[in-house]
Amino acid sequence: MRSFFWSLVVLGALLVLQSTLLGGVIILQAKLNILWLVFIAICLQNGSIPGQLVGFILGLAVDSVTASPVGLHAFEFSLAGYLFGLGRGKIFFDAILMPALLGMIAVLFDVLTLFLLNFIFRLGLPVQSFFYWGVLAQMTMGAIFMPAIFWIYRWSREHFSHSRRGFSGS
Amino acid sequence: MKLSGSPLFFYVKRFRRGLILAALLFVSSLTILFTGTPGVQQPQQIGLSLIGFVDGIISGTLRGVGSWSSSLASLADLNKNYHKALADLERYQGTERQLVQLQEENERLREQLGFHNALTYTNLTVSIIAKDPSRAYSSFIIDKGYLEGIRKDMPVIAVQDGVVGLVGKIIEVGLSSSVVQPTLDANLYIAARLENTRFEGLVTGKGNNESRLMMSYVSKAAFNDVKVGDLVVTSGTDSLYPGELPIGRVRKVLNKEYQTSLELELDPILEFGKLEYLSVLKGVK
Repeated sequence: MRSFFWSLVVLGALLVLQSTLLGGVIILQAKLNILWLVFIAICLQNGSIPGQLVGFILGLAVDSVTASPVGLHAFEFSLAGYLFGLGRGKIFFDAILMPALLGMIAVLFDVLTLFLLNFIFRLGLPVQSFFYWGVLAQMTMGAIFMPAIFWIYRWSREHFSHSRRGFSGS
Repeated sequence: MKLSGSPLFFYVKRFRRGLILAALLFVSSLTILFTGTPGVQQPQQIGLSLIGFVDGIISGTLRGVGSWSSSLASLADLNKNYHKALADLERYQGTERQLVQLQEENERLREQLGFHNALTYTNLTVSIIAKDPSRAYSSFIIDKGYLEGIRKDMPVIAVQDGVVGLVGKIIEVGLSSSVVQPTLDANLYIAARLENTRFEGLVTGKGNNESRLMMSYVSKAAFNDVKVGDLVVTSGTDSLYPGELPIGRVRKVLNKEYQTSLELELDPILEFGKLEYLSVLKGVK
């Protein structure tokens, strides 16, 4: 429950950051989406149920600050929280390679999911808004930033989490 | 009755993750449908929206399948057009090749025509219709015969790259075709002379694949005067070939002590492997 709460706090802060400062960071037609990457990393650490619940709430929050129809990001974040949460404890993450790969997959999942939702719900967004060269740049950024996110997450858990002590006091 | 022991509870507990996801996605979908289009939603539109939700999924899927099938049809049409364009391109390339060939043929014929008008002999232009390219010294078959006035032993000449040269003579005459014996044939003897020094000799083919000629019975007195590259022409003394028709150029001078005359190895003035059109000399104009 505590991790659920802290996840919401961190992601909420990141949402503010993303919608203000990071929203203007565009490299090669690609917008840096730290919020999405951190969310995926949290889902992998916390599991499927917390992931989809956090995702639903976060998605609604995102929908409230964007021009998209309400529920679009809730749908996407819930689905991502469920699917990526299934990988908890089943995938070994090294320092760089696997997090980088995860970053690329996360960006790809984001693009494909929004494309399918646009198709199913007839949202009227053009195809080129999903598939363009900037997606490759986004995947590259995902591959670069995800290892850093994983490193920060591990560092914060080591320094801020209060593990239970046994009788030996160790 | 305890709720925890019921099959429903067991089912919910076992599949809670999927059920939660389904609930969240359902709620999200509803909100998308209700807020996807701008404007205030009227209460009576809620039912319509629910129906529209199901309809959206079904029609979207069907439309996707339809779009996919029409894309396949378009792809088939594109493939068909592509192959048709390839065939057209191949045909045009063939036409272009034919055009180039016709231009080249036109130039050759113009050359022949100029040569034909310049000659002081009445002549008939013929074309080679058969020959063995691997054996240049074998006979040629031309497309004119007795009906066109061709007779046996008529001399045959040709122009090649602006150079006139002796090809050979007619050895057989048919009604509409004839056989030409080239100078490269070892059985053909031609009275010739060196153009510069005027020494005479007898030219014949070597009869091998070297495509060379031999000039025999040249006086040894000519040894100091004959140079490599000197032109050899017909002498006109045998009454068969008109005089001063180029035959070849001296390639090598052979002065054998045990022989009473010189032997000259010649390069033919014409490239026999490239001959297409010939002129048969019929007599003095």
